Amino acid sequence: MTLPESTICWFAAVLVIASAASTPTAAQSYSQRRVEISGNVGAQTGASKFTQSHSFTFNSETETLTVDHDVKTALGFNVGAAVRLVPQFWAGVQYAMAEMKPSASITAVIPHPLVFNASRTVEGSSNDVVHNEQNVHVDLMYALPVRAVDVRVMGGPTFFNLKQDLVSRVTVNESYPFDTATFASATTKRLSKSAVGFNAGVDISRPLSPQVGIGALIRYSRGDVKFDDPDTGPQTVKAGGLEAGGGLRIRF
Amino acid sequence: MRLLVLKTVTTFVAVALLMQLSARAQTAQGGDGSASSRITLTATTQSAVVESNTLIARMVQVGELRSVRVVDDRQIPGRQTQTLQQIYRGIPVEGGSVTLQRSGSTTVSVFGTLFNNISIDVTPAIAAIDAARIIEKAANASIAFGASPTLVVVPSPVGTFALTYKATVAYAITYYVDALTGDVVRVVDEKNYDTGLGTGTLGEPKKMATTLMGGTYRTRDTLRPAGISTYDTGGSSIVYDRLINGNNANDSDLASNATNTWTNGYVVDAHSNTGLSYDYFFRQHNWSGLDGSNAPLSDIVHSGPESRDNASFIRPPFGPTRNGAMVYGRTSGGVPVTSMDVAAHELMHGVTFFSLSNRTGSGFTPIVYTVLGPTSFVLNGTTFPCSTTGVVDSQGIRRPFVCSSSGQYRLGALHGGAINEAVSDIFGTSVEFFFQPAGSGPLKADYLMGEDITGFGPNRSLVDPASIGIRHDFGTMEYPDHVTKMLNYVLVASGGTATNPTVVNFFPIAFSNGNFVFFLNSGHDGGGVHLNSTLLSHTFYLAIEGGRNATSGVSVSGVGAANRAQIEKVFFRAITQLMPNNANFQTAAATVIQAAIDLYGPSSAATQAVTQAMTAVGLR
Repeated sequence: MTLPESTICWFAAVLVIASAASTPTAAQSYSQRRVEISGNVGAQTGASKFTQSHSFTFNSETETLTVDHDVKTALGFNVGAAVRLVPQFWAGVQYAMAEMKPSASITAVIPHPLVFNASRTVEGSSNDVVHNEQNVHVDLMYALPVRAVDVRVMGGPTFFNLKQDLVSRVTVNESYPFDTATFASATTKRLSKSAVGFNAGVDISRPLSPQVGIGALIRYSRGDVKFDDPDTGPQTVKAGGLEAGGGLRIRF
Repeated sequence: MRLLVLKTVTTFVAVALLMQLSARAQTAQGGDGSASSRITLTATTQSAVVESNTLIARMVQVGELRSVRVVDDRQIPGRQTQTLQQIYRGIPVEGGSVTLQRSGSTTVSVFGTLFNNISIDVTPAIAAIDAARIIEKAANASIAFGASPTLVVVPSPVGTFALTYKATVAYAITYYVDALTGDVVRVVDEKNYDTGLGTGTLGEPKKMATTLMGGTYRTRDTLRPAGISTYDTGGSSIVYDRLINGNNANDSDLASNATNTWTNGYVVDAHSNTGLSYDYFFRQHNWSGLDGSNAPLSDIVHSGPESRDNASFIRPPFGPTRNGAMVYGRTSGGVPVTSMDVAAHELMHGVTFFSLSNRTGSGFTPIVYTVLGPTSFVLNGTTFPCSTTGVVDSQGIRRPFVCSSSGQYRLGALHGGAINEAVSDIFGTSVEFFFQPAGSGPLKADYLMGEDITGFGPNRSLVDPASIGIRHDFGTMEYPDHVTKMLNYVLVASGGTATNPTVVNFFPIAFSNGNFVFFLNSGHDGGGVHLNSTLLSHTFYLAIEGGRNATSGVSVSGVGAANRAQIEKVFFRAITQLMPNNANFQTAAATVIQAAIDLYGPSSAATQAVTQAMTAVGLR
């Protein structure tokens, strides 16, 4: 499931307003607790568009693939836990997952099978190119001295685990004398790799009871995941992006 | 009576003096059932077409055939080909299709294969998405977009059928999954069509269209519609004999390589140059392969003694597929005789043979055209009058020379053979100009034959035939560039009498430009088929480039190199559409001029150029 990018900000804003409007019956005891378990559902958009370039030998010449991968916003969720170290500082870990299926525009320059220097250029597109992130954010949080709600700013390293479809080949419709070709389909290869990056964000929560609250999270994370598969060529994919969501906070 | 005993010339080519040759009937194929569930349609006769149309109409009506493509005929205006896919209960039958050639509402021919007695349940037990997972797991790759699993009915060689899902994954490998059991039942690896890289004899890179067979790359080009197979005898005369006689040629006779990077220049040049020659005829003349209809092409590289210092075309029914074969030897110095002009020359022999045969019933008939010469010649101070001179052949039988009633030598040449060689040289050079830059030196296009083969060429020049010497017993002479210089050979009456022969043979003494020339140590060239060829091939050069004939002094205004395609088309039309199988040089010249008129009009530059060229060499 994917969401439009503009939905993210609205989603976060609604949650913050809802949090602020809640009854502060047990705010004091909620804020003083030492351990928090949280879960959020929201949206995440990809870090940025990227262009995949891949060259390989085909028909005794060099075939080149240029693939412009788009970004897309998708449903994401995260769960995590945090521990208060001192009154103003928390340390936390969150597992976040999102899967996007943006489109990719493909341009391939395919060598002629029979003669040199007569390559054909074909263009096409692929939908549903999978970009799946399962990330672990490790954060140090600073609780701002705000009375109505708990506001924490956070930052720290992110351990990205990215599954990414990259285009490895295209198939074309062609026939003798092979002077022209048209795009038929693209073949992708799903690659998986981990990398370390960073994240920074804000978590706002409002108690509903001494132990339970609702909250909203906005976070930006970023990491460069470097693939080097012979079938798709070396490629750096930017992981992370803007993430916004809301959910429950349970404190002990 | 003087007898000239043959000791040095041991081979006679018997040439029947043919007055008439009956046309050979063409065999039309009808339908045949090669397997119990398979119907092969090859309808070319009216009755067979009607029968096929009835079957097709019935199948279309009940939804068992569906039109998938209608294509305009590029060679014959007004014609179309229509392809229909066989459908079984809504599912395509793999390999079941027919192609109709139509002229308006009339069906001209029907070719294809259909399957009957299909009786299977077309309800799959697994979903397409499950088939996709099975395929991706088996392939360890994802399915190409747009090629997600689709249901097809796949026939087996034994007449059974299976409902399968079909999808293509990375590297163009297609998987078939049984739609009932989920088993992967077939994998078709299409990447074996990845073109290989070869290095030619002169070190130049060549693309090699090969086929991966059992882990070994072999020289079978399946990219060109005719298919080109290059066999390698390894120098074995036994293998050569087997391939030439069409007995048991098999895949292991093809040249092979562990990888698709080829370094055997002999094989590389033969295979790739035949392919490029095929491309030339297709692109320039819309002519597909040997017969214009994609009869399979076969090359044989044979370094044995049978093809030493030579390349040749063996006509049908010989050759590995009985469609003839291009045979490439090596020079005495071991250099392959496989240059681009040579390959195109040999392929053109096949085009000439098939086009004449399909149109007239045979290739050039071995008619000897004769002229009268002097009454005697002098050899080593001895005079040999025709009326009293003869030869003792290898069987010890005395044969008289052919004379006129007045005692003149009746001399002859095989015009058809020389025309055949001329057009092969013409298109040998044409292919060079199509693929190579004009110039001199290796891998450059010029009007010389075999010039890229060290120790072999150039052996003929279309620019200036006289620039190449012909060795004879007492020195050299020039290749003829004018009809007055063509070689006419002394004839031996192998049957009948000197003045009324029934069968004649050529004798290796020729009369040219007012003199007798002796070839007792080299032979009669089949009646001058190579030596006289420059008479016609020179006109091709003159018609393109223009210039002055060195013998007649007549100048020709050529169409210019930029318009060379016009003259190529003129000569191609002349040989493939107009020339009779019994043509002499004068008839050949007339067909060339007519072809120019047909294509470009009577007052066109092309017509003027070929007319002037024929005048310049004395052929009109």
